[in-house]
Amino acid sequence: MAADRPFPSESNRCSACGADPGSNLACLACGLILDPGRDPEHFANLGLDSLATFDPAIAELNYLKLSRLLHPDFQAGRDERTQALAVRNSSLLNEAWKILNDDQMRSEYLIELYDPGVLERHKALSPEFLMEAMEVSEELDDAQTQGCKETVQKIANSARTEIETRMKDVASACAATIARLAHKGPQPGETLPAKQLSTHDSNTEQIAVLLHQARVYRRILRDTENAR
Amino acid sequence: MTEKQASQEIVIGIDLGTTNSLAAIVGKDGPRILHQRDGEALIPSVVSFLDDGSHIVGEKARHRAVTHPRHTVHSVKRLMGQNIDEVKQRESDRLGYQVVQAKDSLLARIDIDGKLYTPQEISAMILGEVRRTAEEALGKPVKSAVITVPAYFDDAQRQATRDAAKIAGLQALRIVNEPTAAALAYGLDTSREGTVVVYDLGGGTFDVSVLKITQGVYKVSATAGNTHLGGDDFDMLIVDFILGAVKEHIASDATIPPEAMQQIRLSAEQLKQQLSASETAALEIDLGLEEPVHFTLSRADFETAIRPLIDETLACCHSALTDAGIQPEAVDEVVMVGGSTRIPLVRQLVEKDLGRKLHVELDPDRVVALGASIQADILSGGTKDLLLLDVIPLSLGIETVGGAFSKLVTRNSTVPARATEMFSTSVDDQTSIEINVFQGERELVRDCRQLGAFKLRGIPPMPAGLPRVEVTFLVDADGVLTVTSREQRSEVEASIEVVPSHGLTRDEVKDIIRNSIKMARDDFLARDLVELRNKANNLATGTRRVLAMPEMPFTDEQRQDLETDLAHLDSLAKGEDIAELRAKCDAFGEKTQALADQAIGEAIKAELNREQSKLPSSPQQP
Repeated sequence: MAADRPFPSESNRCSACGADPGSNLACLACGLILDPGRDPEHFANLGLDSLATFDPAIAELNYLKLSRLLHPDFQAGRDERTQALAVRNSSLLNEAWKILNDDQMRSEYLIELYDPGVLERHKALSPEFLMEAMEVSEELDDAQTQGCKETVQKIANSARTEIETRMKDVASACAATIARLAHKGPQPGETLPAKQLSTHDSNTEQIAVLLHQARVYRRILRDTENAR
Repeated sequence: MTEKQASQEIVIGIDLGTTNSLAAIVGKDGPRILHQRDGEALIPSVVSFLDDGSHIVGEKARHRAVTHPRHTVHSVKRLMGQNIDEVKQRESDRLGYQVVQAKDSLLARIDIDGKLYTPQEISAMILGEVRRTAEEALGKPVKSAVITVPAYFDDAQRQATRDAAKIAGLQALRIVNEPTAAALAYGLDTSREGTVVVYDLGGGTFDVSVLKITQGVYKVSATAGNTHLGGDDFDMLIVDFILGAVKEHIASDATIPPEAMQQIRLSAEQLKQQLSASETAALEIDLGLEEPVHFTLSRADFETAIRPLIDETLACCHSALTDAGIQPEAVDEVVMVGGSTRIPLVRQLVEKDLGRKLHVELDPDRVVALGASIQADILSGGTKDLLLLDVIPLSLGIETVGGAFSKLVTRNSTVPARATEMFSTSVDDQTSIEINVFQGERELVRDCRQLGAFKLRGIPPMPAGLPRVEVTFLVDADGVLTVTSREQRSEVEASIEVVPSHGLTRDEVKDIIRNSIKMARDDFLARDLVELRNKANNLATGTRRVLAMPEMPFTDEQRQDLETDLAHLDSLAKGEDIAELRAKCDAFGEKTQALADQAIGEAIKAELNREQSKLPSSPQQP
């Protein structure tokens, strides 16, 4: 199914204006609302190339532009099918934006796209890391019961640093993976799933571990916010 | 507005409030409030039932609260989509009227002399009055509206509001969140960009929304609130003070009659309003005792009493900011909405807490209706520059094994939002699956609110576990859930039967509409009257203009005759007799038709003469 492809199709042309629609959901050139089929891919929905470096400004621009094309508010007087499609595509657009606009969720989504199941396979974190995280959590509990705001603040700051370091590593590892994929380039006639990495790619394994660790620190950070 | 748009259907914005309701519309000069004939904009959200079973709405109904507390329904918004336990627990006996359980469900009903009304029906009566007011002000029938609800209203409360509109014969084109509407009203005349916090403390509800405005797109990042915290609760705290004073005057075991309770409630509201302007407020309350009870309240005592409630609203603000991922320092503006934001302590604490100067330029009672009218204009194709992207206030999910709550659409997801989930069967040849849908933030479904049970039917018989039923949950732009499903192996659409836990089924809504034919007839007649009055006024104005034309050759008798007709027409237009007004309009219209033709002829002649006299006086050509 065309819509299942993680890569933007080369031969994709808008049936109304003939231009490259740019997005799965609506033609960015003429505004025609498109039927994306089932389970379409978030990058393509938002008019982005999953192999390109993520640019939040372009993503937001596309999100706003597509929102104006798709939102049910602007479909007054259109036929029922178009209205229903607009609601469905709006919900897909919002879902794509929610995931891609968040560093953590976007990175998780991206590596799953190229190495399905990698997150699940590397869910178990090392005992050393878990021990460390547990100590921080206990320290936070103590600080909360004692009402020590400074310690809470200190824990929040260090959690932020831990997240940032990992996300930086994730970004460069993702860039390296993408570069390898992009270097291979889309070969004419090649079946797309072949572009997915082998299931034992050390690079995506490393990214998966970093992302799981980042999630643990995000939870701690969240707890410090609730503590205040 | 272009000609084409002018001929389009009128869509008004309605703020259906706990205390007051009102309507607004976008005209040539921007949004404006639609006033009642006496010039008043706010229609008290009060319905009072008369002895003959008919009802009145608004200011007159509010006055009857004291004399007829059991027949006068106020604050019905607090009952929308609620079951009897929820109401009893929160409102206890402060309402004055009877709230009972529905015969075949847990839903709250209002009991007026044994006749039960749903909160939706009472709300529909209020909406009917708002609509009549709008039709009178516009001189045109109104069929569609954008209606506002608190952002923190859950699915059941939103559904109830939609059903109320349906019962009132209004098409609710959109349910808009009140704080978002307010942000629209504030943002219209400036090209605002940045992060805005809307603090909305109304008569019965509190909402806070964090919005990011970019290029005319108003995107809500997060919302939080409490649908049972508002001015009513402040009133109740004053009522407690008053009751303390009253008890000194009466026997300790004496009960206070409902009439007196309503008097105390209204007095409390007055005291509260006085305390916004002065340091102390005093009232004499006549409870039918030997002498009236003197009561004085200082602002300091009032502030001490309400402080915990305001602190609760501030905590909500912070959780909304946390959810939005925004530090308080990053907030650009704070907008204050709702009558209760007139209380000085509220303003003072919010300003201090968020460290921003507050926007209070627009009337906090009217800003929501104005915003709703802007959204109405967007939906009717007027404005294309603005777009609202709102969120769902509470997570939505299903019950899984052991009563756990599995979230499918998390809170603060932008709507429209959707989620899909796969289901299968546990027994061979099972053809239906029941799914319980809940809304809330807790881990177990017993701590969340059940929205309803969805039964998937028509699954083809297959061995257990083999069917793959994909269920799609779609939350539309109103924040209301719809569910669709499909069995993937057979491509069969499984039909879905929805049993709402806190609302009316589609059939119940239909029944109510059918039963309210009398109401519909009243509405129809009222609209007819509006149109006829309008016609009469146009006829009168036109005729008077012709009478004033100096070039018309009227005899004194003719003039006298027309003046008599006009006076008669005026008096009929002020009355309520539709048949007579229609007859008079028709007869007078026919009579003046010839007059109008003649006037046009005379006017053209006069105009030609003027044109000729303007020509330069040159020698006449032979």
